[in-house]
Amino acid sequence: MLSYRLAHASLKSHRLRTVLTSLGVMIGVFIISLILIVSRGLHQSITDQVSALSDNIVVVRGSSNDASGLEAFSPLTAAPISSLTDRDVVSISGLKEVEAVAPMMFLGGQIKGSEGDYQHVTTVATSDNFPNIFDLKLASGNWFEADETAKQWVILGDKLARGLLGTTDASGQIIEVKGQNFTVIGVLKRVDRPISLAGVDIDKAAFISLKNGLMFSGGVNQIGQIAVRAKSADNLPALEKSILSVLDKNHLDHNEYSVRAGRDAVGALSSWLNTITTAALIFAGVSLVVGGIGIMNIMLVSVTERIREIGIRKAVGATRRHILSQFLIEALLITLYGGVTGLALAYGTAYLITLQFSLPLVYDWWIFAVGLGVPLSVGLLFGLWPAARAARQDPIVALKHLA
Amino acid sequence: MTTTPQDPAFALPKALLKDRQVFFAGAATRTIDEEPTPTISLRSTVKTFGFGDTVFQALDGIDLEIQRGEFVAIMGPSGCGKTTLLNILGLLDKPSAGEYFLNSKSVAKLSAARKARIRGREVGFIFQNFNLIPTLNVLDNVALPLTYQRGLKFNNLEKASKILKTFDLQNREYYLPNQLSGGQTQRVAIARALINNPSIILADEPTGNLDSKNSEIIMDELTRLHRAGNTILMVTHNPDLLSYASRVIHMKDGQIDRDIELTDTAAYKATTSFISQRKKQRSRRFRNGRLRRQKEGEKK
Repeated sequence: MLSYRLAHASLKSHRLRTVLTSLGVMIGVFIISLILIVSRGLHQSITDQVSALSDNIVVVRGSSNDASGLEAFSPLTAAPISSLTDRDVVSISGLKEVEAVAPMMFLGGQIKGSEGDYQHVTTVATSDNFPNIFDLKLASGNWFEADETAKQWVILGDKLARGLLGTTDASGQIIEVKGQNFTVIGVLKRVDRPISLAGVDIDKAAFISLKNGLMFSGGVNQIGQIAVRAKSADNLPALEKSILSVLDKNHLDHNEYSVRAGRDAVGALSSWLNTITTAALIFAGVSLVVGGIGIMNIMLVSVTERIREIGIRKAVGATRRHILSQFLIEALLITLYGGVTGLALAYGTAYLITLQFSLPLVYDWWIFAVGLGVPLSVGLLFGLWPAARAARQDPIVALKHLA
Repeated sequence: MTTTPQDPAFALPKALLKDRQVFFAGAATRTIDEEPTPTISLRSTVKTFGFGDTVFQALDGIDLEIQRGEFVAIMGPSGCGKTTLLNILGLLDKPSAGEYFLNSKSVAKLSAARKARIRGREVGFIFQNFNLIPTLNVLDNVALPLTYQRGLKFNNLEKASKILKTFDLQNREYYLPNQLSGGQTQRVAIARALINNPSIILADEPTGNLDSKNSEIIMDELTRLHRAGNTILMVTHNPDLLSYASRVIHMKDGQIDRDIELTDTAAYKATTSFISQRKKQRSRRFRNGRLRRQKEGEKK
């Protein structure tokens, strides 16, 4: 305790130097902790989003399984060439584990409204089951019923409706979809989930009936994916198996389709997130090494200018170990101060970021362990040599040293 | 010529005196040889600096014995080896050749850590330039030797505060060294030298940087310590200070030129009375020991 007090006193007498020295470590710890907190928050938010509402959703894709990572969930990989047919939709809806099925046909193209004009809008041609499967609520108007698919009606996502028409209360307005006039019959509630199992950002998409979709594709049935809602989340693996066996009967080549569940999305996303996090941590680690070298430099200067003090301490009975631990404690204190400030700043910044992007603020114990353990090991690593140099001083030479 | 001041502020503090007596009682029981063992004993000690053509012989065969309770002044021109001698005696420096017995134990084979511990416990240094640590306050400076001792450490500052009181510095405890006058600084340094109850006090020109008034105060402190039974070795250039010592050693070119007992000083009287007292104690113990051995022999 006393050695802590003495070390603190000597650091305090060089306040500016201490602050500047710990700045390097502080920045390093700040970056590392911020990356960890935000990436943990992102990870948790993805897990929450995908699993909370897609626990019992399975998506059948009309393409092989070789797409990896996020690509596997992009509509672009699913859209153009698909081998899925109406027959598959019917076969799957006949399975006993299935509650509802919605085919999804992806169309791109221009949409014009009274207030906006968008060149590339994801338009999904689907069935009346679609909102039930993905648990979508309408802000205004209605979804079309099973017997209304022939009408040129469209439902808009929240952001798209605001962009096109300036309002979410847009029922009855006429917009132009790929050159055809469509009547808006409903606007969805904001979902705020850019990444979802549906494969589209629902807030920015338009939804029409499958019949209208066929009109645009010239009658060619190109079902990009089939969304399936299971009766319960427990038998999801069994459902995946039965879907595969049904499709195997309908198709000759097993590789023409794939089945994905929510946890696959989480796995793919988190591996992608981990890659980015690791890369960022390596860069932050470099900044920490630079900070450590700064500490070593300052400690060496400090040892040189305090050689006389070392001599005095040795003259009144300090052993090598005393001197070593004194300088080591000083180095550790510098890094500890930097670590604590860096961690606090990281949490402050992370709080602002999470407010802005509606992410959860994560308080994992190991983030604190890393935020304090890493700077302490930097202090130990880079403080040891200067401290050993101080301890090695010959007492009589040190005492004669001109201060 | 006595220099004990009449001012009651310089009167010997009772607490300090008691401490010394306790220390002496302990020391006396350590050795019960017939001959009184000197505290310091150097045998043909040599110290050289440099290599090859630039070799400089700082000490050239010193033989020296100093008894417990002596006040020795070491004099001589600059470069004669006074400070080197003091550094060797204080275990700060190693002799190139020869032997050094401190409290009748050879120090040649002691480890660096052991020497450091002896420096802390047995030796108190007083330097010409005070050598306080500028970043620590007076209290921490005085307590410094205690922090390097083994054992419990929680009452260090209390002890430091107590000893500062005996030097009339109790209201300077939280000052930094550069806020003190020269005399006060040196008194703090003496307090630091004394806090571990050392058996030897080594003072290297303690008044060299002080004016005559402050010099006198410091010398009175040293006299006080000597009366309390401390062994003091003081290097000085100032012949006026000889009146405080019981013995003076003149050095020249790394050798002892003259070694004189100053029989007419108060310090000498104090020293001789210590030594004769201790001789009596020793002979009594010795006699008692012989009687005991005789009795044991008779029993057999």
